[in-house]
Amino acid sequence: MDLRILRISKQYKSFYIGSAITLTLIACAVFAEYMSPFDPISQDMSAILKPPNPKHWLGTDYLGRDIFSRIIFGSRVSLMVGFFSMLFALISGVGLGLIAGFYGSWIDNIIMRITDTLLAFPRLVLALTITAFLGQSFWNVILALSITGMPVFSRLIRGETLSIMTRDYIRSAKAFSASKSRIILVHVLPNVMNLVIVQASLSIAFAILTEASMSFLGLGIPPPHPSWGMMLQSGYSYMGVAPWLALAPGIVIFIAVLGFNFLGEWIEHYIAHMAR
Amino acid sequence: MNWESSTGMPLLEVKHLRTHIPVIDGIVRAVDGLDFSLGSHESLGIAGESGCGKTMVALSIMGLAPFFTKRILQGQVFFKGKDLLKFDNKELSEIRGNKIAMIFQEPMTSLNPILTIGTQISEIFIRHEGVDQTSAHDKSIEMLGMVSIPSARKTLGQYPHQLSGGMRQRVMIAMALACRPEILIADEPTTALDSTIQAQILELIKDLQNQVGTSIIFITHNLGIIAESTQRVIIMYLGQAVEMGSVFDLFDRPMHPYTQALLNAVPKLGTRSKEGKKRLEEIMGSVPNPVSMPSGCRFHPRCPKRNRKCEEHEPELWEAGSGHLVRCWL
Amino acid sequence: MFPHIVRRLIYLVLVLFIMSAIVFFLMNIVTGDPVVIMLGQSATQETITKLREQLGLNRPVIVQYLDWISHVIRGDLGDSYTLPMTVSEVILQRFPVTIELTLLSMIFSLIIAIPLGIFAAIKFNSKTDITLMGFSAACISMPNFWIGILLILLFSLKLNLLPASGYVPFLTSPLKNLRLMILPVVTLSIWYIAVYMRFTRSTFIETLRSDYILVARAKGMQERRVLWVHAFKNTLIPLVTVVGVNISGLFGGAVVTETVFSLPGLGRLLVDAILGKDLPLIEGIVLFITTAVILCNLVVDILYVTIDPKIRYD
Repeated sequence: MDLRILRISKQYKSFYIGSAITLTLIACAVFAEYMSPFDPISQDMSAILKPPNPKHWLGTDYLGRDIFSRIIFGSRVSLMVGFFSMLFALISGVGLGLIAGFYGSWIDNIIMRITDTLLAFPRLVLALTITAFLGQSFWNVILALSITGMPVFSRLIRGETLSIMTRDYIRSAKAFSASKSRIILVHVLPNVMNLVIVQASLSIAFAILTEASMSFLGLGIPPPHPSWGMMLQSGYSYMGVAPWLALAPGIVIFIAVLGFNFLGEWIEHYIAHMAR
Repeated sequence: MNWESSTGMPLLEVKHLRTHIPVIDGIVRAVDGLDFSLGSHESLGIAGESGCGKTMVALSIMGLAPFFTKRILQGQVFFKGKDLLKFDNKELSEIRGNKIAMIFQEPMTSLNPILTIGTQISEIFIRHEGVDQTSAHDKSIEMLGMVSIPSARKTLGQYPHQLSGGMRQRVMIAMALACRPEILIADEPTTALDSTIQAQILELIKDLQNQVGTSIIFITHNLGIIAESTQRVIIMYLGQAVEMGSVFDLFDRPMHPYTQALLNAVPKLGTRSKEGKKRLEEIMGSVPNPVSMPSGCRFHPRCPKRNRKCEEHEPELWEAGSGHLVRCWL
Repeated sequence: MFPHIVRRLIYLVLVLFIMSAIVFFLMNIVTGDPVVIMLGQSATQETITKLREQLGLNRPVIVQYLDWISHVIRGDLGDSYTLPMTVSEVILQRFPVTIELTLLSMIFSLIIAIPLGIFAAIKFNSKTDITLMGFSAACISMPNFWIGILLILLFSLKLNLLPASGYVPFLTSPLKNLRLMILPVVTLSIWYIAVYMRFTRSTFIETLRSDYILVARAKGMQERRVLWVHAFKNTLIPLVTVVGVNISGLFGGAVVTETVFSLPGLGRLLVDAILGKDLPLIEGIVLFITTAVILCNLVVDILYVTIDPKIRYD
């Protein structure tokens, strides 16, 4: 890793902030049981809607549950949803994009028309609709987000594949009648990975945001799993009485999304510099 | 031109010009101590490999360094007795395009794709001569005629992407000469064009020079153009002038090993490789990183005749014949 | 130029068909037996079979689809399960709110973002620029409903300046309408302001680095003319594309914004419909919104083709 690049202060900050945030979140998700003082779903009716205090660092919600613990456990939900939906979107999107770019002609046309149509649906609307019909569950939400997140990857990869295909070394590989899958895997894929990694990070960020929106509307991950979006919903309901309910989950979502955005941006800068 | 005869001073006098650009790794000394002068009706050539700083000289004279870089300009550039480096952007913009004009290398990207040709030429007249739209329009037609573009009226309404490379370069020339500038700087005007068009464009430039009476600075790596179109030449290497003199002197008795090598590398005047860059097969090595220059004489790592002194001490320019200057220990 | 427009129109029809097919598929194949949903779990097998026969659900899928499409084109979207109106009626009633919200947000975000972007570009790498970039990075990462909540907390509950919810039709009282729309529009716009500002800035910087700008300066053009006549329009053209791409997101954001601010628009209607399992209504809204997005994209495409001389004069 060429550390000279990190001397440029802007990229320097992006990297440190982005990776710090991401690592912290992952730690929270993995070690949630050890890190949170309370059980996130245990209710304590004697301590309803209490503001932040030494016992409950971020206060309690309308069922007496400790907010701080819920936030830590919520990271598990958000990260898993973000990661898995990105993963499935990536695999399907990259796969379709490679096929479309590699084979061209009518295959490309069909794949692209489907992609375009998927993109015409507002992402949130489509995700909500899919979840509505399949039923609200953890994996259905992931499925919905994967389907809506796929077009970004397929478009990106298809474009890149097309431009790589026109390069001479591909033509010579074809002339030597290398098997098609070999060409794809050995020649095209590595060149495309750079873009994929950048987009992956950004996709996680966007998936976390979308999932939060869905849960906020009550149409995302079902209770009792603590989800930051859902916590914001109760924050909204109890706005007048307990404003702190709305602050913490929002800040955490913000930090998480920011972290992944920064990470993606930094990877992009890094790749651009390496290319020089 | 009356300036020179009445004052006895050259039209353009460049003294100790230094243009340094700070980058991440250090400082690029693009132009490092250049001195020369240009008289009226003169044609001066500046030759060298890419990266030797020749384009930077032109940009520095016009005050046109890249927008977002901080650069350090030192020295003096006297145009008709006034130091251009002391002018602010506003004052310089009065001179650019008006008294000193420039033609650039890439006709494909040098014209604004969303403005018509007419707009791009007319605006020069409107800006510098204060005329109205209609007069500017007529003058533009006149200019297009001067550069031999047929159907001038139609061309004025077209967009750059509708013209060929050669046509675009002609438009560039028309724009540069619109206000009858006293100095025209031509930066590789033919490099990006087809070989058949190149000769035409060069002819055109020379014709117009005679008509308008401009002095020209030709910047190129092509010694053929130097031989044909210029009277004096400066050979540059890594920001410095390594040899200067009349074209005859340099071609007859080149004294700097770099000049000699450049001349040897020309198989036939006017031919070039596919990308328009001459490959210097005779000179070993390649142009070093401009941030970390060799010690002593900058050329010494590639010089076949070098000795101990060349590695340690940087040579100054000395006069080998009248007007013939060389920067070398030999 | 015309072949482009014709191509776009054909493409539009194609996408509309695929889109409607997807909606139909989701609705009728995926949801499980609609008859069971309608009659409840306790219905006998006989009643179910009879109803299926009646509703024509035993016909092949293609036929069902074509039948449905022929109704849709005529504007018949069926009856709502939960509301005493036809789906079309409800949608027509509610869509002006959503249109107003999205339109105002788009205009507002562009008005703020473009000048900010150019300002940041001119002051490249200065403290102002870096601050603006940092601020915009933050705005992109914030969930818009959270911004809405924060704005309500600040402006409605604490400062009591602006209303937190409610809606008055524009024609009834323009001023009240606008006052009620201020917070929702700002909420929805923030993300877009950040995105457009960053894009304008980077495109402007990119443009300023190009050869033709150098040439314009070399011709002696004044800086003001170089920036506004030569560089600006070149920056707007790619921006049109980016705005087009984001139109669908605008409707998505409207769903959440309408919920936060209790605006009687299509977005909130969709949420209610999903909660109430009102299938025809969900179907109708999704169709409507997506068609709107596709049409908007068509407009943007055509606009782009007309303003870019490279395409217009081929």
